[in-house]
Amino acid sequence: MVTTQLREFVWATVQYESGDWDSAPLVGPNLTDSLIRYTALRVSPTPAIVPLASADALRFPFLYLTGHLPVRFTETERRTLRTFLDRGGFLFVDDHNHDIDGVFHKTATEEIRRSAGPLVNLPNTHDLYSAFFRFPDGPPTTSHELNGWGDNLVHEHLQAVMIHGRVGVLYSSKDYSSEWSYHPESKRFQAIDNTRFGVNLVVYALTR
Amino acid sequence: MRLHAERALRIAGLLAIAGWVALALRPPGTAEVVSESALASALPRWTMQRVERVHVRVDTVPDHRSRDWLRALRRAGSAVSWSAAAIAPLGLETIAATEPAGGALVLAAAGRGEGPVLSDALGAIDTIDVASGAGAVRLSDVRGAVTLTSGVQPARASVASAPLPRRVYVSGAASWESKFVIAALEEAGWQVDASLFVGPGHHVTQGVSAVLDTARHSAAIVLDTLARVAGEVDRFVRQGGGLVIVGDANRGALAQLGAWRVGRRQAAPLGTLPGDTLWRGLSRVPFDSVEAAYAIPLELRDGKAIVVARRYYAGRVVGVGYDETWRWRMAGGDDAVAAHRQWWSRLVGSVAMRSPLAAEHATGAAPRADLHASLGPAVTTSLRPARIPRPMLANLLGAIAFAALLAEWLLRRARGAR
Amino acid sequence: MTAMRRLHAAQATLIVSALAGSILLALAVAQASPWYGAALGALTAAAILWWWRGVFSRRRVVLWLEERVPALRFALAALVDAPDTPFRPQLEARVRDARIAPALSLATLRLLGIPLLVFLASQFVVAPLLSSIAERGRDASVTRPGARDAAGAGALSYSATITPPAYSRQVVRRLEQPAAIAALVGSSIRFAGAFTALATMPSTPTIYRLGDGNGQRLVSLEPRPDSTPTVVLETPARDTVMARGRGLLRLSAVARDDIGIVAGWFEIIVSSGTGESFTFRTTSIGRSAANGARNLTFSAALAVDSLELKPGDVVHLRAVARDANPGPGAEVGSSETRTIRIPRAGENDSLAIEAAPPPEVGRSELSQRMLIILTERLVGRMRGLSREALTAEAQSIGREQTRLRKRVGQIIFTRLTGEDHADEEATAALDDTLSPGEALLKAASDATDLTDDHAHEEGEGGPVVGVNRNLLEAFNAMWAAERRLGVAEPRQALPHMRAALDAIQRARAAERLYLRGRPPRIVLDVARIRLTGKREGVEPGARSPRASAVAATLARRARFAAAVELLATAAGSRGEHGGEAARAAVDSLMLVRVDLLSDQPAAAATISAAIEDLRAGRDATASLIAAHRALAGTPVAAPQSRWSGGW
Repeated sequence: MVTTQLREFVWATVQYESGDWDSAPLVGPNLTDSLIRYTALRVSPTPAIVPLASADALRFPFLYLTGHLPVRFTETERRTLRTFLDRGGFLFVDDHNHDIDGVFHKTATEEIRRSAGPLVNLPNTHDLYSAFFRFPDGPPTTSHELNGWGDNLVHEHLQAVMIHGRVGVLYSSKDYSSEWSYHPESKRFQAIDNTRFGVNLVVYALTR
Repeated sequence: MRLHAERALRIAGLLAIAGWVALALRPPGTAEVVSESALASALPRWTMQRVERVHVRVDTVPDHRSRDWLRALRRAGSAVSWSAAAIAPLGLETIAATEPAGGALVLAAAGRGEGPVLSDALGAIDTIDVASGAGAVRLSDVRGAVTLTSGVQPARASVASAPLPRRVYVSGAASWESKFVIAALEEAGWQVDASLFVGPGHHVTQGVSAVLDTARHSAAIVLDTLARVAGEVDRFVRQGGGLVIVGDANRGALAQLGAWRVGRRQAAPLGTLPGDTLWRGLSRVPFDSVEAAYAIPLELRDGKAIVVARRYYAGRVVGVGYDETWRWRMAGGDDAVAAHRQWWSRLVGSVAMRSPLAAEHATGAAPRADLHASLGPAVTTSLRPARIPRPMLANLLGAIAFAALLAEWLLRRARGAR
Repeated sequence: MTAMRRLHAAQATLIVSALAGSILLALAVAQASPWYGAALGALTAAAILWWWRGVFSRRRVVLWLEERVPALRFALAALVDAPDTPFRPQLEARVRDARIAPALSLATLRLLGIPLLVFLASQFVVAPLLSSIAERGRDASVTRPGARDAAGAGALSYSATITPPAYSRQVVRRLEQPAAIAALVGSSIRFAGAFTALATMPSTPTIYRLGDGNGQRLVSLEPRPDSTPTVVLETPARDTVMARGRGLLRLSAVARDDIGIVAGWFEIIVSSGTGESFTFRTTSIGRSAANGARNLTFSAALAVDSLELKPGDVVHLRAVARDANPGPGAEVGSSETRTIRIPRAGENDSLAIEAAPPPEVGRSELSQRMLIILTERLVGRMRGLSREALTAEAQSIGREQTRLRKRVGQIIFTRLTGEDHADEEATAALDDTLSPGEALLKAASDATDLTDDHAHEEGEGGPVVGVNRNLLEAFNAMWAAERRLGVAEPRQALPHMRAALDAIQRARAAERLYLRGRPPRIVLDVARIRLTGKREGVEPGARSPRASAVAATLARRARFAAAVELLATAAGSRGEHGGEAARAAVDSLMLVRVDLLSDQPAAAATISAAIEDLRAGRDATASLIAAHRALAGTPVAAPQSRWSGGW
């Protein structure tokens, strides 16, 4: 049973049946820390984990989903996701792999298409990139897109399912899950905090 | 034999002519009694012939035109009276919804018995339950005038066409509640200006003007206590604007606009469904004391007011204790999105500033009362209306005279006489 | 009276009677219509007089009298033809004695009496009846259109031949004058009549307009989408854990489709790896052809050995079926996915999931990654930096690397010896000719019973042993990186730093210290960190409004109301004008119906019923009221409140 957090934003990570949904457990606390550092939003200091097959998922209008393994939703998970999006929820999906067109990407995009609709490239001038911080060049590049880890390929765009003119599902192949998977205290090592884009996602979800 | 027939026809024709002349020359009469069906044709005749006294027997209240005509006859000197076997008492009033989706609230009063039937220009809508003497229904779509019919007696009222609502202004901290309140209002057709606080010196705004103004906005919704808007809000409401204060915003700077005090927040018991109408979410802030002289509780839960309303100078203020209605929308039943949207739209519509023109539009009807007001109380009379109306009688006599004389002439000519 | 005078009198009688009768009939007919009554009446009078024109001819009157009064014995005719006849006195006497009056009376009665009766009836019966009907009609809420006129009497005759897509194997249908055509998306539709037109069933409901100059007709095209097959994986029935990847696994599934299935098979994805490093293999087995059957049961036997599974591997298995739809957007149907896991040695299964925090090594890995990022950025900026600045920055990173290396060393020492914070004291006492790694190991071995070899074994014994080997590699790689950074050679340091990270990842994967469960508990002190971040670049953009969700509904209601008003206009008109208005109203209702099909099918059905009633010439009042309610919703009883806002 997920404890209800009253009147606060809660970073909620989706637990789904098929894959390693828990591959980035530090993202929640790290982004929560960022929200508290940069905004005056009421934020719960404790992130939540919520099963996608449960109606509890509807208590958290912002959901984060990641993993490395194939994503195969059950019918209950698809139904919950459809209801979640129809009612105004925001789902952020991030491929935790350093590859292109891999198994997570193929299966997750298939499930998103079946549950929510087709993914389209989000223009780099979209509101999302100016929801709080300004990202004039679109989605910030992660270190994992650069040389060393994989393919030297930088994903130019994020993808989205638009619902009633708004981003309902935001899909990333840029591996923000790895980029943001560190203890919040380690922010002091960075000249520019690389979690700022995550703040944009939350502010966008809360205000659009 | 033929001669007798000719003579008889001649006499009949002459008598018919005499009768026709006598009818024409006869003064309008000391009293003329007509039934409702003959009223329309009698009115012009009475006007031209200057009747002394007329009595109308009606089964239903005559229409506006006929009533005004009878009143004019009375003022011109004719004694006008009326009587009726039984006219169903009926009252009707329409209040146009100020929401963008339109519609109307219809208030109806009728005598006990079968419920009156409500209809509009497109047809019958429903039967209204008036078990307690009065009832009200909310119509989401109304075309033309509204008619309430009890038996054969109708009452008609138009629905004032409300001008397009102006914008509403939403102010508060960026949160799920503010997000989904704005979403509900925009989906319902309202135009929204917004200012959502994200951090010191940083707001997410929408709309050209961030200043509350009755020239632009018809209502304001305040979701969090923000001292900077308190002065603006007070001025706005005094000038006629509407105000909805949500949750904790009822404390602090805006408390003076309400005639109520905010109590401690209540959390819904474990297991409460977010769509539960007792909670509309999972928490609420009850209003502990509501000054009955100034405020009206609109929703009560467990004996405590959760939605209250009051007039404040020229404006209207509603305090809402539900502070997490977004949970109702997200996690409620199948119709939660539509129900949440409708609830918020109606709430804002109930305080939104109204056009003064709408108030001048006649939107009510009480036929029997109107009849009494026009022509006074009913009068019993022993007179009966003529079996054959006078014009018809005149036509008949004329026809008889013509036929009799013609037949007489033809018989004479057939006989060979001139 | 002479015979001629008697003849003149009789003719005058007949003429006057005819004239009077025609006038009476004209007056009676003139009641029928306030606009055309006068013309009708004149026409009637003229017709009657034409019918009775014989009375204006003396000759005809004479012959008529001779026929009716046999006693005349043609005396009158003789006198008319030969007025100077010598037999005049006898003929006159015969005419004088003949009784003409009865015949004349009867004729007068017919010429005058019947029209008089008709006139009286029109005054006292028909006129009041018509006015009461008109009165009722004004009160009627919904008027009937000119019934037959609404039935598309624009004289447009056509048929439609619907040919479904070949893959569906459905029969070709022919419909006569259809108002709506429902068929599979992609069906070919051929309209034929005085014209020929071809259409293809679109994917969304549409109105198709047919016209040939004589008339016009709207036809609604209502697509039936081809559904994706539904597939149920019957065995295995649930997720499984297999201790060893061996044996034969029976797979069975059932697929169903509305049109027909082409093939079904089982799709397998094998995931290998842990942490951040995975590999995947995809294969399919058990392909079965269905040849268009609507149901397909298919099975296979999976030789698990053939997958060459290792501990830690996960098999994702699902059944898939494809129907015959060749379209590019056609989806395959799939079942739920079953997961088969091969546990690692020492790994508890999901039956007893225990949450555990990530090891300290996890934090080390992430810090190492950030050091790499910092170093990469430094490398990227090297050209623009002075030697001093480069040295300062590189050494700063080096110090962090040292700090991290010492932490890793502490972990190794603690795991080997069970003691905390003793490594520095221990290593400080060692000969400084040893590398830190060697020093660390020596210190650890001095403090424990573990030999160096034992500590380097991997994969046997407890996981602690295996971890240490990887951590030692990381430790040594960090040491090498530190040395490079210390001499301002960040580019040369990077390979060592990456090797350290790789080693840490392997160490973490080897441990597999947490399964599904609660995330690591990091406690945030909200008050301490609130608004401490640098907010340069914060410029929240403006929000743009959402679209109204009710605009489409309001537009539909308005169009429906306009169509009903058009019907009322049609009912008040006669003839072609009324028929045209009625057809236009039906067309408007069809457009509203098609608009509703996709999201309000129930309301669309009520409008269909109204359209059918109108086309058939039936009273559509009830069906239109039902449609109105479906569009506008049922009235809701409102609580009676003192609030003037209409709450």
